[in-house]
Amino acid sequence: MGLLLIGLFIVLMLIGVPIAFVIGIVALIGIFSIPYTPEATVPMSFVNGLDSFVLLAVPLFILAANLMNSGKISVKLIDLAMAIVGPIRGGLAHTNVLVSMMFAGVSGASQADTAGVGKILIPNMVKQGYDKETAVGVTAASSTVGVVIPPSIPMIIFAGLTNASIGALFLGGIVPGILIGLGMMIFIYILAVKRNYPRTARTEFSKFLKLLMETIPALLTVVIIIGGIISGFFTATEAAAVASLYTLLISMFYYKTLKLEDLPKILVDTLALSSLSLFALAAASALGELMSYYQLGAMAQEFFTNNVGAEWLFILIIIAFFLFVGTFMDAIPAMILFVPIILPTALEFGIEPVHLGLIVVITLAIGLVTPPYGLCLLLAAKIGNLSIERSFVTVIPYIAIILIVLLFIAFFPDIAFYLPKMINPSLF
Amino acid sequence: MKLQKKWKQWIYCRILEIWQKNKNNILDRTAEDGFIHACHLNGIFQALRKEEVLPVKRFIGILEKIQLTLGVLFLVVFFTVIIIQIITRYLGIAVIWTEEVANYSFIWAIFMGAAVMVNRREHFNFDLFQRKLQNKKKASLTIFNDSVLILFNIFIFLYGMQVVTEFWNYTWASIPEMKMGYVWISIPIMAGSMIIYSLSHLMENIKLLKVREVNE
Amino acid sequence: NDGTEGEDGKIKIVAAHNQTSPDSPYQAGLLKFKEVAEEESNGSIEVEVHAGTIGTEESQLVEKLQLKAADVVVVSPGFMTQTGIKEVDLFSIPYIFTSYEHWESAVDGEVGEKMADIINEKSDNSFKLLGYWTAGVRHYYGKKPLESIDDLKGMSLRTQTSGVIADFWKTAGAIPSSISWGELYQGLQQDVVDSSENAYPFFVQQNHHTTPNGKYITETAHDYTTRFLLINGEKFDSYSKEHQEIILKAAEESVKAEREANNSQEVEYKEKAIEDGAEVNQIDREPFIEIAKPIQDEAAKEMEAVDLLQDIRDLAEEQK
Ligand code: NA
Ligand code: NA
Repeated sequence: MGLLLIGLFIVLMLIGVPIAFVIGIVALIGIFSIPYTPEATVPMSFVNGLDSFVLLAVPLFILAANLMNSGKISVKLIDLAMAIVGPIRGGLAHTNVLVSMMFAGVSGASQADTAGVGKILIPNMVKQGYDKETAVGVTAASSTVGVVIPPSIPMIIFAGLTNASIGALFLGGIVPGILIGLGMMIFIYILAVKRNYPRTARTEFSKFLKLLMETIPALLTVVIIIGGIISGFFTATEAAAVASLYTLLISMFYYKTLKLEDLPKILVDTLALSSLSLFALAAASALGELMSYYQLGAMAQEFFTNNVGAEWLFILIIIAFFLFVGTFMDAIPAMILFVPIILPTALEFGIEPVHLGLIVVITLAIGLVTPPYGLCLLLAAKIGNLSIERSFVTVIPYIAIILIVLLFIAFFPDIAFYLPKMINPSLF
Repeated sequence: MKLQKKWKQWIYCRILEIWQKNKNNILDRTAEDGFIHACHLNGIFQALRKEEVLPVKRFIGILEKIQLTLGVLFLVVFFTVIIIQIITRYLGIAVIWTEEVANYSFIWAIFMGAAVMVNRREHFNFDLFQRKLQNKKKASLTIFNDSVLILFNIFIFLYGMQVVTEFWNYTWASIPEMKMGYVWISIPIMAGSMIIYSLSHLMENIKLLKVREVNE
Repeated sequence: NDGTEGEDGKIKIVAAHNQTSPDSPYQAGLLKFKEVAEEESNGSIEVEVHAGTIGTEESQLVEKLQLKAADVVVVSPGFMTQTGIKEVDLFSIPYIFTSYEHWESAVDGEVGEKMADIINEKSDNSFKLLGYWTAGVRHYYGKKPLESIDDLKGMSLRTQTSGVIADFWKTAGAIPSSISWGELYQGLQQDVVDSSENAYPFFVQQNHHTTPNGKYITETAHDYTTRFLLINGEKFDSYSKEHQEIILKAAEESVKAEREANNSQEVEYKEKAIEDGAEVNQIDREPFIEIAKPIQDEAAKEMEAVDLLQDIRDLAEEQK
């Protein structure tokens, strides 16, 4: 039966049935096949899967990002980033990476960064003589740090699934996120020297100061969110609401770049984007339900402890597995489906939940730029008017950089967790 | 008189919209490269006029608008409620209903949004294989996929109704006056509207398939 | 697919509780249930035990029981009230039971039988009670020890923020505040909340006793907790007489095993708390009980369970 369901999954997916529905259909047919289990558990788990306060952070962080884009705050961040790294060879590409890292500090997702920043920087880069491939590649790849640098929606979901501390995960994401960004900038520098990419004009110090002062209210969002969560001032979901409210207020009253009549469109866009991924999540929780009736978690634990004795091998298998799953599935449903299954085994191997979380989240971040389903890649390719295939080829070196950082974190977790443990040992 | 003009305008927009959405389905490769048969457009136009698609389309449009508005309203509700929760906590006032109200508005918002996304064909799917197919086969596959969605949603609707009736009288933990039925009912409403949207897609595609056959 | 007795006379029972830890007393209880049921029936009953895998929320387990997506579940009174059966909440009123022996004589005697009938009737035979389990006895723990009831004045305490339990703590002078269980450790660590209340196995496993706001434990024993072991009544009726008897017997054994596991954990985790540096003190509970009495009266009236309350109080008198 299991094989039949997997076959059905693949066939439905290939003929173009929307993936969220494929998941739901497989769950329904699977439950049909179990005697003693009523089919009504499928719609029931749709609701139960969504009935979690943690998940409310998803639309709220998307809202915050949409407000930032519409309120032109992303433009200001770009200006600031350009003033800092523009004068280096390959300036606009470096800007692209740096602004993604700044954006990541406010946003919990990556797509909004690709869309907001890409729309401005891709055409600009092409104008300045970068080839389209590089422009698209850098934009897509660098926005993956959005889910590594806190806040991060996937981290919140992971914490919800495993009871790992959200604060610890968030703090743990900072160092890897910065390492990924730096790695990409080094690679860009080498490329830029070889291909003689342009730099942008140096910004005068007084002008730089002015820019900095202008962007400080926007950058304060990071402090509010991360500080608020770590100090226990508010929960992750509340932080997301505060971030949205704060962004709304500064763009309406401080920057005056947002008008009341812009709001309906922003809200509709937010609803659209979040209902797509969260409906997939609802369907995934039905499939997860099916898997728990099959007791897959216990089976996985037995399999791994009997056949995979070593922790390092288990970690490599997890990475390979989530790399594969990430090619055709969003991070959230992927975690809902598979984290509960691997968690018992991970605990048995003595892997801490926060460590596992970091590994899973970074691995699934790569899924944002791997076809066929890599949202950031699709978005950037569309903005740059480049085929998915060619876009993917240019992203490969960046994926390698993320993978290197990932492997370091996987086997030397202290790289990520040393600092946070110093700052606040009670989080662990 | 004025109304009639508006009405015509509306028809025209709908036709353009349908055209935009389905042009990949109904045009062959040459057409996609910029060569558009006038007869195709004409055919669509006639099909639309003849078969009284208009009231249906209008109904779908209204339904989508209602659902979208509801979804956005619920989004605003849970956003506001969370802000209230933070404020009241720091004022030392215990407000116990915030979490439940927020959660249930969220569920409604997501389900309404998901249904609208079915109408807009925004749910992510792989079109690699679909893109490789030629016109008629492609249209047939689309029809098949729509049927799959309809069938699935019929089950969800029926089992959803079962859940609604079983648990209608369960109460909210924080507000015992509220029934859980108000939450569960969102499932059949979502599934029902998804059926309606998919049916309209199905009919459109069947029509376009016919038009295609006539023009071949 | 809610078929019951298979053609070969075999039945399968999906049994579930919400605790993910393999060491929880619930797991011990359900494993005992499985062992006895399978052994006594020579394998014609198969029991599948789910430890949190088909729902970590009790509300989900109750829903599944009603839908027959689970056959046997463990739930607390609070979640049962949401199904519309008000009377069950009687068992969670503070100080309704004054000792473990009192609790045991109540639930295993006439009171327990009456409650079982109420649950079965009011749920239209969806729920049938198989036995009473416990989740331990709940105590206060906070940033200072309670020497008298006055020490509670102005203290924020993590507990339910509505209903009878909240009323009790408010009357006692504390400020009930809501923090999710998962965030409580940090809340106690960072002074978000002054104190909390729970049974030893639960808060010691979460290391609450190692935080500054959790290290003083006062044995208020305000709640000898009750958990309901339920089976779907319609399904139970569809089984053969023989199977029904085996299930009842297995349930009886599971009750023993669960209470035993719980009681030994209470001792074990109390010792661990003291070893780790927590301080435990006793307190005169009479003033608390005095406060609780009118609240109990009021609540019982609202639940239409005045007689049941009287029965429970009579039992306490007898035991004195
Ligand atoms: Na981020
Ligand atoms: Na970028």
